[in-house]
Amino acid sequence: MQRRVEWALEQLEDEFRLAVILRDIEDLDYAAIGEILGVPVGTVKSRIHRGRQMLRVLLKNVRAHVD
Amino acid sequence: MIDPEADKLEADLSAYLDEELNEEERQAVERRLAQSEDCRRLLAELREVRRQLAALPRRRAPEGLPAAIARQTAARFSGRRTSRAVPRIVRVTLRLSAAAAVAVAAVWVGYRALRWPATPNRTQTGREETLILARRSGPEKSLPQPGREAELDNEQLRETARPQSVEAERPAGTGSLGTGAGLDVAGPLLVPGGSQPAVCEPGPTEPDRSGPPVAIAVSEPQETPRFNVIIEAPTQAQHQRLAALLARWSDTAVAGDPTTFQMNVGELSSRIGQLLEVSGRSEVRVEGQADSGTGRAVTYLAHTFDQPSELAEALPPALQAGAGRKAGQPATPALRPAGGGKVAADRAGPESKLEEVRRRHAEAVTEPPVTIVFQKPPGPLTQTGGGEGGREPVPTAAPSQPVQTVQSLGYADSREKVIGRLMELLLKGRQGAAREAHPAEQPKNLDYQVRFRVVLLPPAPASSPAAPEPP
Repeated sequence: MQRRVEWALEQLEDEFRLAVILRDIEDLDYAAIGEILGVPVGTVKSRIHRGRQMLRVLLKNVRAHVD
Repeated sequence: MIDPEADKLEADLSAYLDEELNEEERQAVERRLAQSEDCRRLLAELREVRRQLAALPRRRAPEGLPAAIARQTAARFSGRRTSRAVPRIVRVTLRLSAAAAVAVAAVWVGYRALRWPATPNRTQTGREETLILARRSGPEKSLPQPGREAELDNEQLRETARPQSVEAERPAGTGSLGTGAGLDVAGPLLVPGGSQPAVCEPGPTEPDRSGPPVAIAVSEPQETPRFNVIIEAPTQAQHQRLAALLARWSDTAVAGDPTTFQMNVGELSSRIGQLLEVSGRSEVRVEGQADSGTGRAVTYLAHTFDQPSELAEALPPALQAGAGRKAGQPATPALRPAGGGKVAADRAGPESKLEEVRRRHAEAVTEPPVTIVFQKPPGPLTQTGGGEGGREPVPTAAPSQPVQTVQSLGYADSREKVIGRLMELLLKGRQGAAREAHPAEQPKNLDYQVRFRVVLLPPAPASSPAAPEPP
């Protein structure tokens, strides 16, 4: 499972992957992520949403890709 | 296609999970959740994604790193002279002995001298800052020629003395690498202007940029299966962003050194894209010194070229016996196309092959570095930009500059692709040939480890895209 998640993360474009990593792995709030990335909180929100959305689809549809 | 309304709902659900909605938005989402089974299912899916991500191992910064960064940042940005019109060089090194610090500072100033005229240009803004969080193994031979130091003006020379005082402020017991030939000073990587002036010096034909590129220098120190990475950032804000990110990236600290980390090339490759993003730069340069003497690299070559004579012929000129770096020589020999070598039958015994590897190892340590430029694709990144369109590499340097331009990391670029390209270039094109001949050995690439350090660069003169001429 871990490999699958890592694989899915790697499929994301950088800006989405980074936002998701900072939120869900590094456990930062949107304001902190915005500070690190140098983007407004609204952008952070949208990138995290987009990243998770892609991950959700990837993880649902490509279950056996790397296992 | 995505239904905009559903998309908005999912965005709100994501933010709801993160408790980042205001009260009104939160109540609206909760009403939707109460009413809609689909909505609840979507929330559950998102929650599951989040849970799986949170379960990934988190790479912790080594103990002491945040403090080290804070200390260095404070030291760098609290200097007494703050005139924005006068570039200054402040070096903070964590583990340089005084002698080493001076040496590195001299190298650095040599680099600066190449970048800017010795007399500060009035159009420059900002300060020159350098932060070294770690250093790589490297011999003193990489220090700049005396002529470069002669280009420095007094002010710059005075500033080079700062590392010693900063060094003295370090708490005792954080380790010392000592001095001498084994000293971990990254001559060519830290200071491209030193022994390989062509690499990073902005040439007149270089396209307009708001500052120097973020640079990652990668090398493989002799006998050590690791790469060293330098990341340069032009502003304090970018430095802080990078430092914050790097602190979180650190895989493992090198024993006894809270400021040196390692990660494998696979990780590095995926980090490059993140670096592009965080730094706001349009490109990342990877300066690789394959140290082709490294047993691993040459052994790899030997897999392809079993006959010692073929191996010798296949090596780039810089690796041929007796070849050394000469002044004016391009830092990177032309790369041969991958796949150009042929696989020989195993006519030479393993002993002679090993002997050849050893001999090359001993001879090839002066191999000039390779510079690879990873570029962001032009135009905004898009969620569905999976194709190759818009990803054409953009020339970034005069043809004479030893810069290899490769495509950026991105949605469509697999980690393997980037690693392969990276290694191929690092190993002077032979890696590609070897990989074709021995596909099963490809995973070896991942064995390489990376160390990185952060070097903060001053902003380049914004109003003068062409490199200024020395007076």
